[in-house]
Amino acid sequence: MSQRVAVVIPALDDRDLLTQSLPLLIDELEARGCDDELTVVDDTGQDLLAAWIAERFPGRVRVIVRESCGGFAKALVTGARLGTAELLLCLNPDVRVRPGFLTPLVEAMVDPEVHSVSPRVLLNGDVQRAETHQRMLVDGGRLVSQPLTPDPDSSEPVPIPFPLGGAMMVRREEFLAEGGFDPLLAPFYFEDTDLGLTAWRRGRKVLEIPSSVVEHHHRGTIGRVVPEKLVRAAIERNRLLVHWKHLDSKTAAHEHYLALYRDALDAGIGDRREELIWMALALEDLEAATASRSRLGSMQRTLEAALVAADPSRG
Amino acid sequence: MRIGIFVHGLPPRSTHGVESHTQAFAEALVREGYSVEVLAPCCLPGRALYSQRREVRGSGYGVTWVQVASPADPRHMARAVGAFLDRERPDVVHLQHMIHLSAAAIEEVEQRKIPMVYTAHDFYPVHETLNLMRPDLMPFECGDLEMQARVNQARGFLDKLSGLGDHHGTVLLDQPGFADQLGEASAATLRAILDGQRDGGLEEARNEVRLRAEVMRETFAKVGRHFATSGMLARRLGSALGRAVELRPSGIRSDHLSALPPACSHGGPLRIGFIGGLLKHKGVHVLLEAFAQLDRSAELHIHGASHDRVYVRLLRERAAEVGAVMHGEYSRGELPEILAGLDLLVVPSLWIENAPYVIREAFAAHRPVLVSDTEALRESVRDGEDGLLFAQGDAVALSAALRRLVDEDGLFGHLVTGINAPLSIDAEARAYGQTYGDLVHEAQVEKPLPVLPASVEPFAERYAALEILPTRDLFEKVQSGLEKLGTCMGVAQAPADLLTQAVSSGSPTRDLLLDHDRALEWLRKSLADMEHAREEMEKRAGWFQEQLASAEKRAQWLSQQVDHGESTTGVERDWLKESKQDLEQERDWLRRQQAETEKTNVWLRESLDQAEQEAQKMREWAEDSIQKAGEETEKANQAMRDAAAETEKANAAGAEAAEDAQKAQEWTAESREQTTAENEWLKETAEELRRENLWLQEKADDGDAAITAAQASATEATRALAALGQEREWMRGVLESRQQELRWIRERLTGGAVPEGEDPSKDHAAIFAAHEALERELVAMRSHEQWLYTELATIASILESQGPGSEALVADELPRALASMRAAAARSMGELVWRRKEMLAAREGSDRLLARLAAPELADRIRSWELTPGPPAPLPPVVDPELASPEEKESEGLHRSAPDGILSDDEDES
Repeated sequence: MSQRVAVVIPALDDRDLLTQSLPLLIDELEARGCDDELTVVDDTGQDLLAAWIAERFPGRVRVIVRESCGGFAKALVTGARLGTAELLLCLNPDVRVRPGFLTPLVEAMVDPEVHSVSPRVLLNGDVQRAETHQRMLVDGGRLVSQPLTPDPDSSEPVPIPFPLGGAMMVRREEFLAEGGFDPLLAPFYFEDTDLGLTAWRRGRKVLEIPSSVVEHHHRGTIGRVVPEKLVRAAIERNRLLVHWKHLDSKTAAHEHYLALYRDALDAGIGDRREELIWMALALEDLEAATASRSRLGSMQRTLEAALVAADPSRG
Repeated sequence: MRIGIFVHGLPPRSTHGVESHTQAFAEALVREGYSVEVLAPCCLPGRALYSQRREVRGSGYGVTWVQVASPADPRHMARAVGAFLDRERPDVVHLQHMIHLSAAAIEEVEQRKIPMVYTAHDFYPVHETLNLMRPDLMPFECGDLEMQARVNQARGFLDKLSGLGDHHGTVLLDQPGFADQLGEASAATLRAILDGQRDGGLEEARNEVRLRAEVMRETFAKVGRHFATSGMLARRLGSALGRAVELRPSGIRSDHLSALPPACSHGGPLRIGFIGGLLKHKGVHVLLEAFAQLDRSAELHIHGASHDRVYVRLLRERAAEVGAVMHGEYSRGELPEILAGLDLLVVPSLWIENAPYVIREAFAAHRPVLVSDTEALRESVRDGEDGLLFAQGDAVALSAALRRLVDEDGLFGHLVTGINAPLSIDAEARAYGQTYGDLVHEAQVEKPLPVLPASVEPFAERYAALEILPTRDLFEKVQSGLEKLGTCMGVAQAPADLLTQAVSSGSPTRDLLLDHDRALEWLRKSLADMEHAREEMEKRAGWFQEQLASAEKRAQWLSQQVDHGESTTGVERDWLKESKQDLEQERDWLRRQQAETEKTNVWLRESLDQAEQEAQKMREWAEDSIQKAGEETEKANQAMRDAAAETEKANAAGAEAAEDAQKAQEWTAESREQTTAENEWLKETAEELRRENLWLQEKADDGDAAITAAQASATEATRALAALGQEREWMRGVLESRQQELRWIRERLTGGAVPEGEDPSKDHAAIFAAHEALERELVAMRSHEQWLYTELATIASILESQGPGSEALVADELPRALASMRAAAARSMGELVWRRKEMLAAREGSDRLLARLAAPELADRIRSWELTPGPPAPLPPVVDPELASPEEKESEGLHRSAPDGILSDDEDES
């Protein structure tokens, strides 16, 4: 029998997005007929969604109301803890599933070597722009990602550096046992990158399942309530923190350090204040990053090897 | 707290009063613990327009120089100021002077929500002519925009005249001792312009003045607090700007001046001095004339310079004539030495003046000051106390004042003694520090906090804390963090090594600079090519010119040949005509070519000029465009996002507002009804309360009366009770005695003889009846006594119950109890009377019986029973007919008419 899935959607006041995404999801779960769970975690801290969902989708969606807004990672853990199914599917409110997306994901998770999977996440439905289909590499001492154009005809699972947080499936208990996302990266962004890199370095796999397709209307949630400069700052700070957490060779550290030093010089001379702020934010969290790094323990793969293994173009 | 100061110049580049004061003020702020960054314009050769250079002064404040053109382009200046603000992140901006910086700078500050303070030193916010001085050295009123327009027109006229040099907008007309600078015609034109009798350009000048005034008014309204350094300036500016301008005098640094040797301690002639710019409105020529008229031994020392070469030359010539010494330009550092060489200072200003620093500096050096008698200078100098005033522009009056100082014994010493210590620059810095603190506090209170998800707030707070740091602090923080990171990663290196490795491996900034160099090289080459092309074109134009001249000569010759054609053949004539036509065509073509070449040449010349200008601006443009492109894109994206969000918000807000308005209307109507009802209820309640109050007052009065009456009644009752007790005791003794006598009589009767004719049984029966009656009375008396006690207890309880709220009880119970008691007392009196009658009847019976039966000795004994008078009867109670009830009246009647019924019926009623 197919494994049951607990679908958890951490949400802010995303009623307009949920209006579009929930019906598709409900249809999919009903079609699968495996008694899957569907939970929306109201992370507004104001109980805005329960009554609305009860009226729109009576008896079909469970709503968990958080007393205060804790952010995406905490809301996901809240929903995951209250689930009972073996698998946990995390979805963003702005992700619209396409029919038949769920079964291939569940099937891929049968392999215990697979840590997590993501459907092919098409940015705004554009088949040429799969958010999941990217590689990560260290270029000039900086951790960067490069979008790749997916092969639309291939249906074979593809290794990817990390499962996209807005549409990822993990084993629920394993995810909870690992403590969910790293709180170092709060309030948002790069938690999924860290999760994927950790999985790869531990000898596991993260896959994109092309036969499972969803659409992502990117930053439709956070971007609506948080100023762009804060979103950008969170991204750039977390890029550095994740890099520091996973740096594992003296050569790489030296190269990264030189690049960062040069960036700081350039930003200082060129009056590029925002870049200085991003760096300062990351450097303020250096101690926490070191602690997080020490919690990783021994790894089976180096960062470099992990990035190579996770490269979709080599898959 | 970080303070940004905007000023139009600073020493050593500019050493005038406001600039020098600003420097001292910045130093004082640093001493008070503030971080200070000054922004000042400059115009130095070889620098790109609006580029910025920062320097750090030894006293601990920074100065950023902005290269400006004159007049400054507001758009470029705004960007330069914006960059300064973003880099330095001041908490407050203090505007000392905005000339050359453009009012657009204020807009930039306002956009960043940084509080501003403005200190006015002149009339800049209202007039372009900062000193309100007409070109003919006559002052005009603050706010007189018509005169400002004429002044502008007049200055334009003066600018076109040659021979005036750097006239600073003024000329000397009819000044004694000075050559007339203008010819008769120009002077007449100038006067006509100032009188508004020359229209040329006046309307345009009016519009410009009006527009400037409006812009300035709006711009300066964005400044939080306005101060002026004199009361005169505060009043006039406040009136013109339509807002409060507070007086805050400037302080000076005086420590280097206070220890100078005393004035007039040298024993020589009086040393008169002038210190300041040699500008016409400063009135130095008036001082020279006054000195010329001073027929006393004195020296005149003039310190200062200006670019008004013509005026300075005139001053020098006149100074040489009158024996004054022109010392020329001086530096701030020389001021103590200059003041040490003077006994007094003269400020002969012809303008309305403000609050000259030099006066306070002279006072700090204990030198009295002679000043023109103006509204502003009267605030600085007290006539006859610490200086002397003289009529403005009046050399005779000034000369007389100087003569007084020489001639009047003790006057100079009196003035020196009267000098008060001027305000210190540190005190001024402290006062402004308080203002800065207030403004920052107000700004924090007013600043709306963005609504963010709670999970984002800690991150946003950290971001905000970094965002307010100046760029260099941010950079320092990052560098410090990088050192820790290097140690943590085990890759720490010596800074020099690190720098070498980092830069040698490439840098975007270096790439950018290389790009700029390449772009400049390309521009230079283009310029050279264009220059070459221009030369070629000029050569070509020259050739065309030659060809044209040649063609015209040939055409002229041919015309002459045609004119003399009679002598030529027809063929020759035709040839000549054709040749002439060809030549004319060639000439026209050449002319066209020449015109085209000329046009091309003009275009090339313009292009060349433009290219040169472009080359000058290239670095700035390249830097700006590359740097700003990203920012602009970012801003545009942000603006689009913001616009979308704002539209959404606006729609939502509109809907909410409409709903709120509806609710508000309903609520207002409801409230109005409620209020009306409430008002009615309040009126009724008030009326009820008033009535209740009256009723309570009446009750209280009644209660008081009742209490008084009850107390009197109680006293009476107690007295009556005591009398009754005495009577009862007497009665009891009498009865006892009667009983014994009766017993004796009964024995005698039963054992004795009865006289003849008498029926002893009859008397016997009567005696027995009397006896029984007496016994009944005794019982009744006891009952009555008990009843009296009960009544007294009731009265006592009533009296004890006197207190708040007992009025009703007193009013109801007390009269009734008193009436009952009075009735009872009346009844007792009736009974006593009746009993006496009974006893007398019994005695008469006994006497008769004794007379018949008893022996004489027995009769004597019985007679000895004569009733002794009882205790005095109590006063009859005062029965108030109003209080006594009909039943009580009736019961009194029963007592009297029916002694047998005593107490039987009344007991219940009472």
